[in-house]
Order: sequence, then C-alpha cells, then structure tokens
Amino acid sequence: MVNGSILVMQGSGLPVSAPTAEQQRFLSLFLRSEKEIFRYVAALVPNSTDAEDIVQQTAVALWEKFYAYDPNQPFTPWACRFALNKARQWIERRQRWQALLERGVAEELERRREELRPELEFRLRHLETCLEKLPQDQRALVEGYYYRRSGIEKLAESSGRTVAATYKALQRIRHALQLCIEGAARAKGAA
Amino acid sequence: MKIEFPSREFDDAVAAVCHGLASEEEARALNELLRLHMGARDEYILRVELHTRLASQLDLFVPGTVHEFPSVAAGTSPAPHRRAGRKVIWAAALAACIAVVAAIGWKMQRTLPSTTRDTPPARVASLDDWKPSVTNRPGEDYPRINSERRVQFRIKAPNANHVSVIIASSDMGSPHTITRSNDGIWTITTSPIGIGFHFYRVLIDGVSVADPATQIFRGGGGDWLSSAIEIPTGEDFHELKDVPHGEVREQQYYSRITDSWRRAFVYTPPGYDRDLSARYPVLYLLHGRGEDETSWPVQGRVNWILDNLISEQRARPMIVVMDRGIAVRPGEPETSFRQAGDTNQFPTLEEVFVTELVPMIDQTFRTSPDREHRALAGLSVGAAQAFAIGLRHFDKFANVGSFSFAGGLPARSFDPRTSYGGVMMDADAFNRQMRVLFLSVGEDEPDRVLSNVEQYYRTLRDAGIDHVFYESSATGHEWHTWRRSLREFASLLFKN
Repeated sequence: MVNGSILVMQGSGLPVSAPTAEQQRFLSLFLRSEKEIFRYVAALVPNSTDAEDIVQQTAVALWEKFYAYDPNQPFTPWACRFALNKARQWIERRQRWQALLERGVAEELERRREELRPELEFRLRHLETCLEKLPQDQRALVEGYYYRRSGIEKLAESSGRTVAATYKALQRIRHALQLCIEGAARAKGAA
Repeated sequence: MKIEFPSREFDDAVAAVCHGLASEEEARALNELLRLHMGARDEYILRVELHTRLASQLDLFVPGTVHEFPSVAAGTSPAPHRRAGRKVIWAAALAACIAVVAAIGWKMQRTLPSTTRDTPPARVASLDDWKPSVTNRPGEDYPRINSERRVQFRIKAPNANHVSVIIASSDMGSPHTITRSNDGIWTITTSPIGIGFHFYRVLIDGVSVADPATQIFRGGGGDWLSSAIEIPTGEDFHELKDVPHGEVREQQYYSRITDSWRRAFVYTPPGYDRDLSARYPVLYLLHGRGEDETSWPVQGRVNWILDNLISEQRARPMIVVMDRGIAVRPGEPETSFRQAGDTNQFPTLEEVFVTELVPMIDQTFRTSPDREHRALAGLSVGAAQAFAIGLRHFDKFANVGSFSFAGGLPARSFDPRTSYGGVMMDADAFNRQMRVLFLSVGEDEPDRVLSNVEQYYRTLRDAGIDHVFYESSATGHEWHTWRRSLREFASLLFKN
C-alpha cells in the first residue's frame, strides 16, 4: 500500500481537530436537540437529504451565534428559530418548494403541526410495534431506505424492482404503517 | 393540474414530496389543496411526520437499544454498531466544521454532499461490481466504476515514484487507496463521486497527463486535453436511442474580425434534408472555460438529447449551432475577457457572433431568421457570455439561457436598470418581448456558483423580470447539470 493524495479541485474535505470545551458544550446541546430540529425542518422540507443539509447549515449558524445563547433558556426552541431561517432561505432558492409552501402554507403547516403535536406523539408511539409487524421483505426495504440509506437504485436492484416501483413500494409500506398506527391508537383510546 | 382529497393523486403527491420528487406543477396543485382543505392539511402533516420519524428515529430499527450520545473525538473510527458509527461520523464532521468556523470565520460548506451520503466516509471496502466507464476507449477495462460510484483507475508507470489523479468538479472526499504492483501498475480507488461527467488528469511524478485509457476531451478547467469518467445517472434522456436522428455538421467560416478560419458544429434535426421547404428556429450554445466548439456535441451529447426530445414531441425541431466561445483580434490576448464589472466583457466574441456567425448561419441553413426564432445559451463562463451577448442584442435573441452562471458580470454588480445595456429597465416591456429567460444551477455546485446564480435569481425576481429557474438535483459544476439544463431549456423554446 502506498499512501498518496488525490487532488480535488472543488469540494475538498474538512480538517478535523479535537474540539475545545466550548465546542464540546455546544455539540452536547446540539446533538441532544438534533432530532427535534431535523423534524422541525422536515415538516417543511420532508426530503431527508435536503432536511439534513438544512440542519447542517443550521448547526454552523448556531455555532456562529452560540456566544449569544442564554444557557438559562431551553436550547431547542432557540435552535429552531435558526432552523426556520435556514429552511426559508433554502426554500426561497428552489422553485418547486416555493410552489408547495407559498401563500401562507408554510406558516399554516408549522402552526398546525404544533397544535397536533400531542396527537402525533400519541399515534407515533406505536410506530416501532407496527414496524415489527411488517412482512420481512417490506421491513428490509424500509430499513434499507431509512436506516442504512442504501440509495434507491441499489434497493431497486436488490429487490428486482424498478426505481419507480421501489418508491411506490415505500409509499405502500408507509400507508400500511399509518393504518396500523391508527388502529393501535384507536384501540388504546378505547381501552 | 388539480388534486382532490382524498384521492390517489393526493397520495402520490405527498409521497413525491417526501422523496423530493414532486414536480413544480404537482407542488403547486398540492399547495392549492393544502391552503384550502384543512383535512388534507392534517393528513399531509401526519404522513410527513411518519416519514420524518422513520428517517430520524434510527433506534426504531434496533429494538431494545438505548439512545446515547457518543463522546466527540475527532478521528474516531466508526464503531461496529452502525447507528453509533453514523452518529460519530456526523459529530466528527460537525466538530471539524466548527473548528474551521472558529478558526477562519468560514461560512457554510456542504460537508456531506447528498450525492455521496449513501455511503459512509469510511475506509474503502468497495463492492466488486465494477463496470468500465462509457468514456473508455474500446476494450479498456479501466477506469471502472462500481455501484457505490467509486472509481478505480489503473495506470502503468513502472519508473514513477508517485502517481495520483486530479478530478475536476467532483465532491470526491479523501478516503481512497493507491496501490502499486511489482510490475509498476498503479491502481487508484476513490471514495464515491457525484453522478455525471467528470474530467480528470493523471499526475505522474508531478507531470500532468491525460489517461491513455479513455477518450480525450477538451476541458477540465484549464486549457488542456483531459480524460473523463461518466458516473451513471440512471437517466436516458441523453443516451442514443432508436428514434429518428439528426446530423451534426462541421461548418467552417472565415472571420474577418479575427482574421482566421473558425469552426462551428451545427446540428440539423431529423428530416432536415427531406422537406426542403421547412425552415427552423436556431439555438446557439456556448461552452465553458477551457473547452471549445467540440464540447457540446461530444460531452454535451446535444444531438442525442435533441433527437430524443423531438421524438417525444417535447421540443420543436430546431437547428443548434455550437461555435467556439473565444474570439480574438490579431494581437489580442487569448482570453479576450475584460475586467469584471463591465457588462460588455466579451466584445470581440460579441461582434463575431452578431455580425459574422448569425448571418452566416442564416445564409447557409434554412432558418427562420428573426429574434423570436433565435435562442442563445451557455454554461459557466458561456452562461455569462450568453447574457452579455443575448441581452445586449435583444433585437436578435428573444430567448436567453444561463446554465451555472460563472465569470462575466458578477451577480453583486448586476443591476437590472443599467446592466446589459439597460435592457431590463422597463420590466413590463422586457417581459412582453422576452420569450424565455432561463437560469439553472446544479444542486451540488460550489457555493460561489450557487450564490451567484441565487443572487441573479433574486435580483430578477425582485425587479419583476419573468424567468425560469431550474435546479439540477444532486449534480455539480459538470456536464450532467448542463445536459439537463439543455433538456429543460430546449423544451421551453419556440412554442408559439
């Protein structure tokens, strides 16, 4: 094995160095809130890779303003304000997302999601049980897509479907999960 | 398009949004429904939340595990457990990101580009499903690409001390291996690379050369001949298909302005030589820095894209002219660019285009010789040239396209009231006369290009200038962005 370098003209990697105590404190807070920030962003921009990009941009913006953070206040709402700004900037640059979220729809979705939050939590607590009930092939597909992030082409190839059919299969699985969750929530409510 | 609720269209549209696949038309129809229908809105929120939980709550897939936050240690190897491993990688990337911000006030950079996110940036452990790049010379097995979008190069250099590869416009990260066999064959394996067409050069003991295993292309950022790899996209709009084909002709003409012979490639659509009474609109295309008139017909695959679009009736039959984007008077420097900030930065090229090329094409081919049936577009610095020439000669071009605008008049200096000869001073008048004004960019392009295009877009929007903006998903500053941009732009042209 000979070590060598590949020169990249655009888009090089980042230097990695040990974090300072301040960075450690920020990372600790950020990582605790990361999932909630992601969900907050994904409610507006549901595509995972796009939402992750926005969360990354948010992380950098948060660090730049971390000196202004009041440790007596909860971190997540403070962070979500930045996330909302980043999401808006991101949406503004993309015509089809603008088309989806313009004319007050973004604000209405955000407001309504907040109202529905207890209901969403109540229903989605059954998600893990419902996932376990999926047939093996469906479970493998959903795990490949969401957990292993295998990429849709690879999943399509390994399952012998076309890419379009794979997306459709994922849609059907989510629908089955939704029915299962609603059934479980109804049963729980009736009990 | 209208979406009812409940309906299959609603189901499909929400799924398309979740997967980032919704078209603008679909998005607009969904917006209309969500604005007016509270039940649809609640259902949309629930479905998106379900999708989002699956994407973010990874412990769902590992029953019985307790979620813990890893300690952050830069350079930590991924843990055996996948979930923990991913978390460490993310934390390390974030730590690195913070370190850079803290050190030099660095602004946001894409640390995990979407095109490579599928595969964690771990040590190379490549899948063994390699296929030769389609850009290889016949019979050459290397460079080859696997389904993870890693590339493997093989270079014979028995006396070399160091061999590496320079890849332009890629988001290739650092993990890779270089091995040397006893007989002097160097094998270089990269980390995953973004989809599309990438120029590269081989560096042998500091000397940069093209790889003899591939076809040779003009381009790659410098004024040189490059090799190239083509990372599969899963799309076929730019592939050779069994449809009626046009022809690419080579047209020489003498330029009195430059005192030299120039060459343009001209695509004529299927049927051009059969119906001799038909006249056609014309699209002029400009290439990027370091390229020439071969770029659009070779790596741009103009003829196949147009053949396919015309066959699907997505584009009107048209002539496409691809000339060299550099024109210099005797004694002028080769760049022929003027200082940034000047909207007329390409004066010699502009003069050649307007007074020599366009008249020559109109005299030689059966064109519809008016502004309504003429379009001009370019990529990168060619995009800047298209704006500079097309907008300053509004009487000759009613359609102008800019793909990945770079170089030329920077967006920060662009003022619709005065730039490009003040053609946009009266937005309403401009909108009435302009048929298509088009901007595009690749989602994974470098920030300097993204922000330049974004600022152009905002300035046009704020000035009330009608235009179309297209973003190419998961592509960088490379040819697949421009092939897709051509597909979109050509589909809009000459419709009335």
